[in-house]
Amino acid sequence: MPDHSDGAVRTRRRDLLLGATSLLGGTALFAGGVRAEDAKIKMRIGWWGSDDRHQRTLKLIKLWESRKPGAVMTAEYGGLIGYSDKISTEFAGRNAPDVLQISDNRESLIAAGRLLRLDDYIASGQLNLSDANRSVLETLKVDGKLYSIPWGLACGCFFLDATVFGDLGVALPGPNWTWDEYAEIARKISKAAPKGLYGSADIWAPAGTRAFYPFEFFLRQRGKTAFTPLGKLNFGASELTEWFTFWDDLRRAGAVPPAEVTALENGFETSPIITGRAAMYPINSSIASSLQGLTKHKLIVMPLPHGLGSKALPGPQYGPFVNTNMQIYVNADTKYKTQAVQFLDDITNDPEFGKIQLMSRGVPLSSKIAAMEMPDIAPIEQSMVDMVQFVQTHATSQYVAWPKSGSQIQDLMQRAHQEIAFGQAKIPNTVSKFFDEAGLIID
Amino acid sequence: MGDNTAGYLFLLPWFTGLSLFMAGPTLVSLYLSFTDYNLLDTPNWIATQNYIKLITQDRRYHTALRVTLTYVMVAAPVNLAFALGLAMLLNAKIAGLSFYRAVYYIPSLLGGSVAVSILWRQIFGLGGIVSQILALFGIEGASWVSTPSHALWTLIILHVWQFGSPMVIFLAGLKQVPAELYEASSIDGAGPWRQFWVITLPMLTPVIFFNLVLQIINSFQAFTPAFIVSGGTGGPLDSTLFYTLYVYMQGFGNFRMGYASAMGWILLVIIGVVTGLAFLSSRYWVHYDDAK
Repeated sequence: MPDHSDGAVRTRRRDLLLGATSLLGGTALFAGGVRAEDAKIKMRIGWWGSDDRHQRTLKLIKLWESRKPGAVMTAEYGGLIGYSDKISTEFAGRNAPDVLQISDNRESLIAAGRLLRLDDYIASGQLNLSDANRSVLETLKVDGKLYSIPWGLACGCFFLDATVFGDLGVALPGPNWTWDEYAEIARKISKAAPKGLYGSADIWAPAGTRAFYPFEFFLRQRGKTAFTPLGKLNFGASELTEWFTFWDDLRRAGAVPPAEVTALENGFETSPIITGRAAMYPINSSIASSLQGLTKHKLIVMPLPHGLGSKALPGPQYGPFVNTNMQIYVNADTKYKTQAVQFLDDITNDPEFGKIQLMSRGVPLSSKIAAMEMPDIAPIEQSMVDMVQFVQTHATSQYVAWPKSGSQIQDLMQRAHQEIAFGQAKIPNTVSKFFDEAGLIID
Repeated sequence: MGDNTAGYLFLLPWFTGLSLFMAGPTLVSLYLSFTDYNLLDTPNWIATQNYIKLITQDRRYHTALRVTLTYVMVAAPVNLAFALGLAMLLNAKIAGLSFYRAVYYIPSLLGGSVAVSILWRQIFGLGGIVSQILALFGIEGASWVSTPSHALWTLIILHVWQFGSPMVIFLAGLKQVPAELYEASSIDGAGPWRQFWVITLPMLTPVIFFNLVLQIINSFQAFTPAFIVSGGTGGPLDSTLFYTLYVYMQGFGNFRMGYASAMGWILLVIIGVVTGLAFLSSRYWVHYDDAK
């Protein structure tokens, strides 16, 4: 997949170069031209996503190259499945892209010193984060150091199919909804809808990262976190049982689909909200534009429900927080540290970059750029901005970064959910097995 | 040596490839299997810990073993039976034979590909063709690829469907069976069924044996179908967690390359033992002409 695109990018770059040089020939007095150090820059950038994001990112790269005539940035992109494996292999071979997004295992890469620490560049002003939300940056820190910045703010959320809500005469909730309200709406829709359409998609999915963050949101309601600072689990059997039971009840009531329907999802492109099997769908909000592009129904974004004053999954604190999954990193091995950091600064603060990428990766990190983009964005993006703002104003600050084994615990969570959903084990057995296996992973 | 120099020279490219890209990495992986290599840091020697953990603690590993053994034991023989049946049909003297042979070989060309695996999701998914056909007979279909009890079987069908290469080998074998054996036996009053059991099958045993060994090794190493059909997870619920898929997940997903190497070596031993057993058993059921 990425190979073809590479070719395409290169050709376009050549056209552009030709254009640029001929232009320069005409205006001989134009200062600079192809600067020697720029002409030597050959950088690579990696990301995953869907076509909408690919197209806008390719345009960003073109803009970046046009500002540094002679410089080349090669794009390596594709879908989420397989992305992490490819990047890991490249890191092992010490040929990972200079600038990249990382979907899994960032903790291992940081521990091995393979990602560039950004703190010095921020201190020196090369990376300007003065318009960024500080509390979000705090949650990204590992041992007090920053290795990435969000390429768009996002968090776990529910997408709601407003068209289905309207057709069935079910009132849309507000952003301040509780787990009780969520469960009731899911039940109501399943009841009113034709066979095969469920109130909500389940909280687990066969691929992707869905199950663990919502659970962490739930833990935060009780002032807990998923992991301790030493990388041990920071929750017990009672919380896990409560969580599994909540979802199992919804499944038994038919409010979320049976396991074999959920297991069919193969990325958000085939998610139940797109295939017309669910009216609510939990996932990270960064895909808002892409998801809306796949359906004619009107979608809106809601934060994950909370437990304040709720009977189900209660908790005295607001759980959701901005756990942005669209982060960008610099490979510590890059020959072009300055340029890479400058690229991070461009996509964060430069209005021209902002105009191109809009909200294809979530709400811009810089509040100035976000405000500038507001007139240009689609309704779904507006809805996403509102949601992120709501969460930012309500979120509590506690967060502990995941240890190296975080990704494996997340996988374990997926499998535990499946085991219950497919009726292969009773909840208490699954819970005790979860802690057994987590013990093996963590030590 | 003198006379052979040219021969060795011609062998050189192949030999270089073998030692650089096969033997070298294989030996390195043997060393890595005794370390905690994580792709990023220098490996540390941890003796047999990986092996001990695999054998005594890792339940997913045991699942992967079970899934793979089921797959091998079912898919390989059924595939061969299917290939033999078709080879016999295509060995008949009917018009347009070479056309049919080409057509039946096509699945094997597409077989392990990503496109076919995606097609499989569609065919055996919710509301897929299989469900629609069953619906015609009043049977309610299911989503076969996403049910733990059925998912592996859709992959077995996918494997059986790729009967092309064993079929071609069987065809060649059938051509070797002397026609006079059939003539003589039909004079003695043997029908086609009896002829199959006493002539065709015994005469074919060397070819069957060859195909069987290839199939066993091949299906132990199956990867692409499970990776694509399950979206890289071995799901639903680890029901299609092939051995090689688990190796890949541990090595490249979880950065546990030492652990994955240990798995690779255990697989090598398993394949070696199973193939060895096949060879040992062959004394009792494979008939070579020259042995008589």
